[in-house]
Amino acid sequence: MAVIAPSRLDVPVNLLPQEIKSEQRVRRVFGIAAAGALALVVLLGTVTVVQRMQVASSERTLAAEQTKAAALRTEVGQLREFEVLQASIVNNRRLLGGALNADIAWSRFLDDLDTTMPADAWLTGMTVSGKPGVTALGEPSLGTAQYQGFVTSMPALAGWLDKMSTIKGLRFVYLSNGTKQDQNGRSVISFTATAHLTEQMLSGRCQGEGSSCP
Amino acid sequence: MSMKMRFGALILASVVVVASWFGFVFRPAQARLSEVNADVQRTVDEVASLQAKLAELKKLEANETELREDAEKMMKALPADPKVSDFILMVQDAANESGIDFVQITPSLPAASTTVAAPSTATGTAAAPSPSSSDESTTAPVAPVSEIQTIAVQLTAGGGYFQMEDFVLKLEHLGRALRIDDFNVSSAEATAGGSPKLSVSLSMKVFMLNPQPAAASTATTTEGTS
Repeated sequence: MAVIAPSRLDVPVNLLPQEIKSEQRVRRVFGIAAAGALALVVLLGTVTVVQRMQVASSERTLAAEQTKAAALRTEVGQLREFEVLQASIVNNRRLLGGALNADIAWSRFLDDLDTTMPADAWLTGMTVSGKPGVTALGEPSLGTAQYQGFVTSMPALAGWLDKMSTIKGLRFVYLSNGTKQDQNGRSVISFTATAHLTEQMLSGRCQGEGSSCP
Repeated sequence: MSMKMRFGALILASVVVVASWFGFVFRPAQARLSEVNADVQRTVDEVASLQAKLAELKKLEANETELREDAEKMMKALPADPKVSDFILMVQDAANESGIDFVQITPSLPAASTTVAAPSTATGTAAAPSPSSSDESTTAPVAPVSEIQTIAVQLTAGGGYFQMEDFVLKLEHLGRALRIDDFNVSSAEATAGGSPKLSVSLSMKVFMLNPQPAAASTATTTEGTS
């Protein structure tokens, strides 16, 4: 029969007084707190190092970009004369655009007159003016043309007025006077008439990017 | 030192260290980082803008010949001084090419666009100088007064209709910028046959850059109020 002896080792025996035990626990907690504080200091140091590295990296980037910018500035400075040239062209074109605003294409006016003039009419004088105004119908006019001439008959005079009215850029072609008279033994009609110029007669010089200038 | 005091000291020391680190290390470094990053951004933007500018200038440089020709053409069209002699030569060339007889030229003194031009002092022929049109203010170009000046020119020529037409066309495309305001064509012969000789009288404005924009503006104002 086996005898089971009671285990004395299972019974904890602590002879330390309760105060010392408590003090040990407090010291352990303090140690942990101190270690925590130390860890905090290490963490702060790490953050500081990382931050310094970031600053240094940014400063390197800045230096590189500044070098690049300086090189570009030099290069741009060397080509600046082309910009000045371009600016002077643009400025002169702008000034000419203003100066030639509402400029009449007189060569076109003369060409149209020449191609439209009926064979039974001829002019002895013409005065044209680029002064803006309004027609008798209240329409805007960029200038006026006054004609003096001869036609062979009254129907030819009516034909002349109709023909002139077909010219693009002419408006309100109007007869001032038509008088039958004898010229070198034959009957002719002397007449005077006026017409107004519209914007279709504008030259458009220097008025846009693609327009001829001057 | 009691344990309580040690704890207190540890907590106080930790707070002091953290606060000092934040105040004297972290914040200044963060501010510096922000400042440097802002500088980097500014410089990167500047580099981008300079690169765009450079590309634009290189494009202009590639068209250097054309650009210089255009600039020269513009300088010729709108010179910085009257260059009346050059203008006479240009008109004479145009007249020669058109086969028209260039008879008379009467230029006025250069004047700001909105002022009444001074009486003429120079003529291309023996004809007496005549006052320029008093209607100039109504037909004045709209370009800023301070930047451009106008020389009113009266020009007379003689020839056939087609020569006159060609002459006017050539004047419109003359190297020097000009604007024909009025013209008068008359013929002594009132017959339909043949090609009668016409007398053409042109009233035009020739332009030049104002050499002293500010002074001209002041003069214009004074003249307008006197």
